[in-house]
Amino acid sequence: MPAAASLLSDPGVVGPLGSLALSHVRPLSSALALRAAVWQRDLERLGVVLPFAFVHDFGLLFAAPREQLKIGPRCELGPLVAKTAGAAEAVTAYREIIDEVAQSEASQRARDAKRSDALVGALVARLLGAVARRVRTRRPYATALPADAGAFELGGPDLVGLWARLDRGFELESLAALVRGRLLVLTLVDAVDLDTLQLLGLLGLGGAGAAGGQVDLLAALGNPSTHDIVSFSLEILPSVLETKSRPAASTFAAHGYAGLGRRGTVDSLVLTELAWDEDELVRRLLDDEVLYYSRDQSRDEVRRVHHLLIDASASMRGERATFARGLALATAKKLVLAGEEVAFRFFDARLYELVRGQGRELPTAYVLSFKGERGRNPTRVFAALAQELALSRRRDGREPVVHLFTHAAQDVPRPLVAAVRAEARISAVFIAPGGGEPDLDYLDLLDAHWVVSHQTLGESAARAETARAILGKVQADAPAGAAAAAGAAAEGGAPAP
Amino acid sequence: MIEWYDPAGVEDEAGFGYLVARARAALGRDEGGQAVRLLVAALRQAHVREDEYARAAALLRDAYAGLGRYREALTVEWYRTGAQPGRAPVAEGLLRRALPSDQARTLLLTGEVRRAAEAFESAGLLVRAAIAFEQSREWGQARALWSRLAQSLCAAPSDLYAAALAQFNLFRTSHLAGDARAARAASVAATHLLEEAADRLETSGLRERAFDCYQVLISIGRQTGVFEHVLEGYVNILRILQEDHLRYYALQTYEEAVIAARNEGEFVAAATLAREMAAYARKQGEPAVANYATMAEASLWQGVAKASGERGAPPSLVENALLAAVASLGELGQYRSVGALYTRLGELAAEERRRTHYARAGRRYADAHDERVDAQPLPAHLRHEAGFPDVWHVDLIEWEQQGSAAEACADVLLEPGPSADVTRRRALVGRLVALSAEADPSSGRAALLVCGALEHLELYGILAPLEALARRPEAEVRAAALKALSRFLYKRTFVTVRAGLADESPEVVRAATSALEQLRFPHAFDPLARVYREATRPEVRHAALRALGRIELVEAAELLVGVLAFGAADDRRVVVQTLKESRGRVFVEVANAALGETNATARGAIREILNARGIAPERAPGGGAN
Repeated sequence: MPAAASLLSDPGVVGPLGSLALSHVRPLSSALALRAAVWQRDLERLGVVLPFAFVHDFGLLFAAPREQLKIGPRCELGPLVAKTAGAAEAVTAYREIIDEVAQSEASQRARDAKRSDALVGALVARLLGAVARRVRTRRPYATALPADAGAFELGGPDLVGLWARLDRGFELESLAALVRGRLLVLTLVDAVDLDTLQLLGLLGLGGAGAAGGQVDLLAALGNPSTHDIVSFSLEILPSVLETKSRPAASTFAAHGYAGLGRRGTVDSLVLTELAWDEDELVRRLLDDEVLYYSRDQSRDEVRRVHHLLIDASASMRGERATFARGLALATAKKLVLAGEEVAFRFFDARLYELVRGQGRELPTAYVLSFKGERGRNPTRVFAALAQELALSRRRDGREPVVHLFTHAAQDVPRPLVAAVRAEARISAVFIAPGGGEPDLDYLDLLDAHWVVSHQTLGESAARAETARAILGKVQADAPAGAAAAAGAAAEGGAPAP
Repeated sequence: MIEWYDPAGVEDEAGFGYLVARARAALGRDEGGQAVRLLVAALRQAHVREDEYARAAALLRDAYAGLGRYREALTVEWYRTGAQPGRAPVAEGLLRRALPSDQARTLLLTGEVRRAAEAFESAGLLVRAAIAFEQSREWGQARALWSRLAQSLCAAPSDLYAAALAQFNLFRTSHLAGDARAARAASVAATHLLEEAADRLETSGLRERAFDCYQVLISIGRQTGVFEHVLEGYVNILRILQEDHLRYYALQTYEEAVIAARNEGEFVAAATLAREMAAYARKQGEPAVANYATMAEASLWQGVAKASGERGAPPSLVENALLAAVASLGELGQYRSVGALYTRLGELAAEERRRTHYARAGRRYADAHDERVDAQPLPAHLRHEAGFPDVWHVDLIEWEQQGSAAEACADVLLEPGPSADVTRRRALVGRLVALSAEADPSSGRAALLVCGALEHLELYGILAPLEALARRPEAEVRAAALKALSRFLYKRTFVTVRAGLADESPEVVRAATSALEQLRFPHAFDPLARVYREATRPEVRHAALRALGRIELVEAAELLVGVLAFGAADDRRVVVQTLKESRGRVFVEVANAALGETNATARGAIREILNARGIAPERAPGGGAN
């Protein structure tokens, strides 16, 4: 259903919808076009101002399988652009660019992965950001696209009419900039890392819909190191994804009975309990001695909170950050699949806020793009950590487990490590490109630790093996094989006896 | 004897020759005090010819010696011998009568370093003594002294930075003495202390001191072979330089950091630094340097690919590195090179799907060419020639001197580098005044004279004595110290000025406000903006605004446009008046760009400013300038 006439008098609607006269991609479902409005909003949040037609066309090519799209012109623009020198040629060139983008692997494989609106928006911003920066003409309207799918079903004559109702200098200059930057855009399209998109789909975006999350996503997509983190994560994720929730007793009315427990509902009460006389039954109830049948598939209570403490100081630049973040993501995924609660926490000279996973969704973009802002101050960070762990433990009673990812020169004062250890179990992964045993006086306080050398990082089999060895020890019951590996270290990944 | 140094007692317009002649006559009459007074007045005239100045100085030395003022006589002798090529030995008679600390300085001047070290030690100056032992390569002796100092400082570390420097010196000398275990312990202690000190200093706004901490961290990293410390130091130094708007210094440091990382085989870290350098240079309007950095980034990613390939890394690592190089080269329009990389990628990829993808992408660039780009490193004339000073010595010396003006002036006087004659002469007079004042520490009048003598030195090393003077109980002295500090264009100056703004004495607040207005230099933006935001007194806000109005910086201009739009009426008036009288161009550019976006009040004020300066406002998109 076409947009209401009242809407079409609003420049905020006429402007973007009229720009669709340039469009070369048409969704077969109007709901898809509605998604384009979300992408446009996301791009504007990121400061990337482009004609709606570009966002719509590029976004659809990366968001929807080909059979849901029709590629071709929507209307004949010739007479409208004839007055502007070179505009007709630019329109033709734009259509060729769209055809080329449609042939790209990133577009062809849109069907393989469900790409969220936040991800598509960030991807379009990454690809067309440079074009937007070259446009000097100010857009004469603020976008106010209607949340009405019908508004996007305009036919050719309607689009021509809407195009003609406003000054289109902005659209034409953007078009010229895109055509001039054709090779750059296509280079960026060809260099899109599908693995990154896959990982983001696999692990989730955890709040990337918010403005801050969009910025994280864009930063992650534009950061060359992201590819390495992603490659590494994907190498080890298959073993992670085998993780299953541990069966355990619970009170949910699902599956079969697994045994007897002290908690439950009346319908699962062991009937012989009713044989006690009234006073004794009341006492047993008050003292939690009453027996219930309990069921498997425990989900009602998480007894631990895993803090993934990642060093974001400048000392981690390069391959240290790659391994640390990749391993942290994989560890988090493993723990989440095991039914544990995880929270990411970066630190440099400060302990940054705790960012929790949302259900099974991890804040992947945040982890990939986080950048420290200050120097380094382990004294302050570990003092703050010990204090917070003590407080949180008192408040919710769950056992905290700290997984530290840092470099091998991380000298933390021993008393502070002891203070943290008094509140939580700790395991640590030290990334040491130079190799060798870290000369740190607190290693014996850790429940387990590993040292990962440059050699390990650089060798295909070794590094994945190392990571799997570490992850293999990340049990829900104990951090990183605590009992087996207390106080030991081994280069290459396995905790030494 | 402080009255000898009061310039008010000598004729204002008296010439150098006249004063010296009168001094000679006074000496002839055996009026040593009068002669000193006249000669000091003559020596304040720092621009006379050296031969005349040296003759007058010799006369002053003799006058002091005749009065039994051997410290002062030796000070004049330092000027004279220091000024001569080859540095002739100092008269033995003076040396014998001098204090151990002055003897030590003199022995250093004459090259007797070992004896100087012992003299410093007997004077209780551990830092100086340890440095002198280091100069004579007696590492064991130096280490023992650094160890003593480190223990005393770490026992109750009220000054984390000084404690860190002492530990660092202990590390260096332990290392040089071959004691690896002690060196390791000291390096760990120094690292902890430096990290904590840097954090605290930055939090309290003393970024330049935090900068020094990171500089020492780089040195620790280099000497221990721990590249993480080097990276930490460089990245934080870069952050501080950028926050302080020292763009050329920052760009030069970026280059150094990239080279350091590359030399360590840390290609990924080097490439990310080069990438940041390109972004920063572009933002700072240095496209040639930005292009140079992007080229370097592309080359480094190719280095990553090569190194990864050579050590049998996973193909995905090689592929990712080459794709990163593709993106960098694409940004610069180097499409022929992009095509070549895609060909390489096609050969590398393990999966058929990837090979097809790269082959198809590579064909697109078959006829492409590399665009010509202006890519240049930072030009030589914009580079800082001097490397980092040995802050682990310099700053500990300052700590040990406890704000003594006499010692700070002696350092300038005896500075082995090419100090300008004028500076050395001012330091000579400064030390003479300070020696007298420090002999009577309770005298406010003496302290006032010291402020006046230090005012024209304008060197960083003189800040500590002025800071000490600004903490004295007499309001008059505090005000004089602040007046002197208005000539010291360093960020550190703001610490004392801000304290002055909160002083209980209106006289001191006035002096601090006046000093604030004089502190206008690019990296003063942050502290000035902070003062403006936090000040409750209108006159303080106005002084900060007047200073900001004379800083040629986009951030300053944007702040002023903000004041014009949303500030109080009296603040707006001050900004308008200041900018009408200014000749800067940055505000004009920022104001023109803001015309279309800001409110009517600001538009009116901007038009008024531009009109007063005879500049036509540019028409903004949407007709904002109308």
